Amino acid sequence: MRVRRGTSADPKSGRWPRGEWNSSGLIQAQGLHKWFGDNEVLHGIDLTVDTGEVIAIIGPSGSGKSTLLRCLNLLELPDYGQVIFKGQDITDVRVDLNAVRSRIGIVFQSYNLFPHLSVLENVAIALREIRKLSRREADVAARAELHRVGLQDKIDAMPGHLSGGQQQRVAIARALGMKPDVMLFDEITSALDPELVGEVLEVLRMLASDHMTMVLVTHEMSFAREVGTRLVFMDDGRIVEEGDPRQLFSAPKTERLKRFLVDLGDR
Amino acid sequence: MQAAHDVGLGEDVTASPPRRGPRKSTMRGVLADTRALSAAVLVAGCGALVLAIAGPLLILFTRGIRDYEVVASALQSPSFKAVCLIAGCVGTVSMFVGTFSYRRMPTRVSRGQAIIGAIAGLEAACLAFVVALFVRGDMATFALNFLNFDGVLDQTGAFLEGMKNTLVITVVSTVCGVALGLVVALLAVSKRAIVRAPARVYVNVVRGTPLLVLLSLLYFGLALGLRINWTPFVAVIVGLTINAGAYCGEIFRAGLQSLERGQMEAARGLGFSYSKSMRLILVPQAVRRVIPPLMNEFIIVTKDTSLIVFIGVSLNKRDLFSVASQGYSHYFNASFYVASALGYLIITLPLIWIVNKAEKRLRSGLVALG
Ligand SMILES: Nc1ncnc2c1ncn2[C@@H]1O[C@H](COP(=O)(O)OP(=O)(O)OP(=O)(O)O)[C@@H](O)[C@H]1O
Ligand SMILES: [Mg+2]
Repeated sequence: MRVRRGTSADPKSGRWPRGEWNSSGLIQAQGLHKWFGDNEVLHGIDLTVDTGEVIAIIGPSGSGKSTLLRCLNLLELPDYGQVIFKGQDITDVRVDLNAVRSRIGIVFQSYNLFPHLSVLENVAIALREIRKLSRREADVAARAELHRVGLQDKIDAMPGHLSGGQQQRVAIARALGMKPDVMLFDEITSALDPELVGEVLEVLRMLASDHMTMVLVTHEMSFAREVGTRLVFMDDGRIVEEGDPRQLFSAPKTERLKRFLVDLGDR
Repeated sequence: MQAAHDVGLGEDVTASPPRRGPRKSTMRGVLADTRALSAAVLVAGCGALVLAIAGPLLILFTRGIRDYEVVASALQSPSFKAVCLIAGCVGTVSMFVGTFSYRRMPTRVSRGQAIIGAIAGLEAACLAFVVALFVRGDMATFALNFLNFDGVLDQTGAFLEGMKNTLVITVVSTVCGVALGLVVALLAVSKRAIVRAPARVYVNVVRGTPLLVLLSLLYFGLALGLRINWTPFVAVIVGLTINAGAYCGEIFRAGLQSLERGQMEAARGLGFSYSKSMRLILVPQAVRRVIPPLMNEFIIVTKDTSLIVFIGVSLNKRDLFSVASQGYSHYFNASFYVASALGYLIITLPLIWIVNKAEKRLRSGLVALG
């Protein structure tokens, strides 16, 4: 038996969770369970992300969306279950997680730029230190990424002097610079003033048109419908419903999604 | 000044007397309506303060401060007492007048003048009366023992040497202490208790023990155990390093823990290892945040170097305090301590100034940003 991160077997069956999985899946979560103390936040999540998909995860606050996303790159260690990335079980302790994480980009609600580094350096530092590019190569690549998100004239600014929307675009450029196979976005527009949301969503649209594989937790329903190739509705640590966004929004099958959409409409 | 004051009051003055007159007793009414009052309180209070500070000094310096007998007679002269009493009384009066009138001042400016005048008067009164009380004592003996710099001036070279040694001890121990503290802090923020434990024990034992005890144990005890024969100079550097390491460890730990959780997550999310995240992302930010408390530690270490006298003083490498205390025992003259106090201030005041600058910069966000 292989040693795993976290505990070994499924809590109910006492066996390894064994899901059928499609080998074309880029990232696959199998039977993820996560506890915070006595609070079970994920109740067995199965999710497959194929190359080129844009998966939008929606659901009420506290339903475990962020936790699921953070389990996908093992920023949060699941207590049970596996995460398979490009055919490799990355919950195996022998896997070099740093190398895996450098192939999975993640962007947070709170930007988390490095405030002591300039915008250029925020993007370039990982390219030098992890991708082992020379200073010149890293700067060229970082400039290109910043150009892509429309911040070529903010290169020498310090993050604290940028607007929220600009900071979030730097954070996206920082993740994109690593040329990840998949990008995870956790409510990246939720902390922004309404007039700044557009510029960030614009960057996401561009990524979608470039066929970047993306998983995004979002409260922007119209955006989820527009760019999502698949919609996942989570409630109480479970995936309640998933499918084509247009279909789910117009004809939700479950009572819970119906109620969720109605509540949203009320607000 | 008066003209500007009048202009400033222009509109209010016409409106306020009829409103306030009937409600107040006549005495208070007069106070509130006297337009010149706030200016008078300001001038009197500040004048008293200037007199309380500069007057005694002026008397001392015009009579000469080189000869302690002249100083003693100046301290006891009637003019010295008169200056103190005048400053004290004027200060007291402006304090009371300002205190009881500032609420009724018609404008912000005059109210401010009354408040400043009252506070300056209070300060003048405290200073002048304390000095007046002090010079009633035995000034001849006081000057002989504390203001007699004949022996000190002979030892100017030794004092400069002492300042140099104090500075060397301070700089070496602080630099080593900061480095040690950083290591201790990195252990202390580990998620594994087994790594945290030695750091906690070290920090708490050192913080919980008087530095003097630590130095004694180190100097005498280690010499026995490890069979090393070291000078007090080296022992004190090691002791102060160990001491500063504990305090700097706490400073750095607080600095690291003050950073947002998201910084570590963003770094790990990019693929940085834990140690690289610390080295490239977290520690640089933490260091910027803790510069003021670290500088403060520098000042504390400067003064703690004086504890070297308790473990023995070698003649060729005396610190500032050793020079002073040997001069004192030799001449039975505490003026050596007065001189050493000046020496410490010469070292610490620029540091304190730098700390304040750094704190201002930090508060205005410049350091935090880069
Ligand atoms: N580090 C943690 N320690 C303890 N409990 C946690 C932690 N992180 C999340 N939780 C709990 O897990 C549950 C799910 O949190 P999660 O952040 O995944 O929800 P979410 O769906 O992202 O909600 P939101 O829409 O508000 O972001 C919540 O009840 C939360 O309190
Ligand atoms: Mg969340």
